[in-house]
Amino acid sequence: MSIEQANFEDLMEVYFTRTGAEKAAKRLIKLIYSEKDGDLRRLLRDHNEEAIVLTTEMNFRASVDELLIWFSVLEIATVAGFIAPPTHQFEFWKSIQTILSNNRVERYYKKYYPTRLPEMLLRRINGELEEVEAFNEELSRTMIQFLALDRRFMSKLNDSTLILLLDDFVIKGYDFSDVVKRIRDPEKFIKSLTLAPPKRDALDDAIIELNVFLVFLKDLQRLLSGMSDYPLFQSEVWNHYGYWFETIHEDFQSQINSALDQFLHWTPVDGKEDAVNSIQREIASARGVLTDLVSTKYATVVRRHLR
Amino acid sequence: MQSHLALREISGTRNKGVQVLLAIKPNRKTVIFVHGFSGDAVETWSDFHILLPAKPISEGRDLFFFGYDGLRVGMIPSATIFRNFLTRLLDQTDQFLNTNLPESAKRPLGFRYDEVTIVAHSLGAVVARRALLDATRKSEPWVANIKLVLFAPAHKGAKLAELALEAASAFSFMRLFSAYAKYKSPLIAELLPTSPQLAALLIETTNACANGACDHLVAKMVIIAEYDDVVNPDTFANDPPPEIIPDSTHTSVCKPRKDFQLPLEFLERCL
Repeated sequence: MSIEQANFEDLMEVYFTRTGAEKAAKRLIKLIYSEKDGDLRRLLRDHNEEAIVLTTEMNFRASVDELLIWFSVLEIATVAGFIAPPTHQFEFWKSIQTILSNNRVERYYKKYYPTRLPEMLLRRINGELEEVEAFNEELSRTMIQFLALDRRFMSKLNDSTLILLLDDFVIKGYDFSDVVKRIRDPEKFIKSLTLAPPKRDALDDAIIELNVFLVFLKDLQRLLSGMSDYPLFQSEVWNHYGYWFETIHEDFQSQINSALDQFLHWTPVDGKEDAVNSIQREIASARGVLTDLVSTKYATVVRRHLR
Repeated sequence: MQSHLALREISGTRNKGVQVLLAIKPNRKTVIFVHGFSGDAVETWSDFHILLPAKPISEGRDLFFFGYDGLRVGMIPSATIFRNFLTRLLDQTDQFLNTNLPESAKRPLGFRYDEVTIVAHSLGAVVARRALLDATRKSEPWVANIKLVLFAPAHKGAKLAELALEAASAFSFMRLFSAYAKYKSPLIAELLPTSPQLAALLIETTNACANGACDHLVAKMVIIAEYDDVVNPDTFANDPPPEIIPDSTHTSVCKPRKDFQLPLEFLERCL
């Protein structure tokens, strides 16, 4: 068994076959080959130009986002030596090249909703980028660690109520300010945390997901800080979440910090004075994690390649 | 060289959240981690899923992380779910695994495990014990291949209210506000030291192990925390005297990190 082949098949199943990415790829290829530029322009338009209201369009665009995630993971896996690098011998890579080179698709992932790793992958397929990390056991374990973390994000957080609220959506009448207000009241916050699933509403879900997200951020920051021997890999893993840490980083950091600040208003119960010190310590630590993640230090290596 | 495929969620069962690191060169041995009260299949064990594959002893072993509702579901239903999972995994291993493996990594027909190490924390120890007792009564053939390694087991009773809150939150300070937690779980009563469920577990285990029978029901090793204010650390039935991890708590005792490898070292000794 080729380990690279087994890894590739594994990634394909998780990020392509079992998601909307496969459907998106087939439809995009069909539209590109039949030269339906008008359809592509409409489907992949900037939502600021005209709002996306049709469910069919929303679903298609969500599947295109999943396709771009798949491309990002392929790029990261190539850099880590987890899978074999692209080769023009295979139709698989040619079809990716066709999709990513299309000017409508390109505008989508470069201009309207910037994400860097698909562009890195295209350069690699075009033969313009060859740099990878020197493969070793530690690197493969770190790659597996990243995949475990990313799968946690995909299964518990991607498209969750919290993520939508952080992205300024209103869900069942709630927006992110409601999350902040709920945290302010420890009794209500704890009730949300411990409520049985059938009794939860959207806000309770968001509170639970916030806890999952804060643990995710801490684990991601720990993973990144242990990758300094692999600067390209490190930068690409960070860029995989670049929408949060770069594209909307100001709003993102401000929202999370305003949520964290509410815990600082909690007063001890039953005379437990050490609660104040514990809270301050842990909130300061959480803020530190966030500050580190939204700093530009992890962006540099990938940016340099795309200049 | 890479020793395991990436962590994946098992499909083909009704269990939620069972994840596995499948060995690239399997040696017919496996380790199954079972989390405790309000825990998570993988996160309860911190970096076990990262550090253990790096150890030569684990190179050919499939590493399962069993997930279940350790907050709202009672001990007996959880044990039954776990037992059913074990039966499916250990009786039909090749079919079960091959639905979850990429084409190039499928196992041969007839692939089975010769050695199964169950590693359980806290409530997970009670769930695992109950499952094994019931499997023994049902004369399941695979029980003879089982080894038990227990971290801070709750089989002599546990205080759960504060622990639930801490486990559900990103912040450990949450346990200081446990007075606000008003939730219902059958486990609170079931894990009282005087509960009929724990009494039955002890009596049935002691009886089954009489005259040296049922070695699989005796833990190979029990590891306790120095500062554990959740579980009663008294020895259970024929279990060996415990090993201790200094400066650890009920939750940290099973969480190895790069700079804290004792939990991993204790497990390695049992493999």
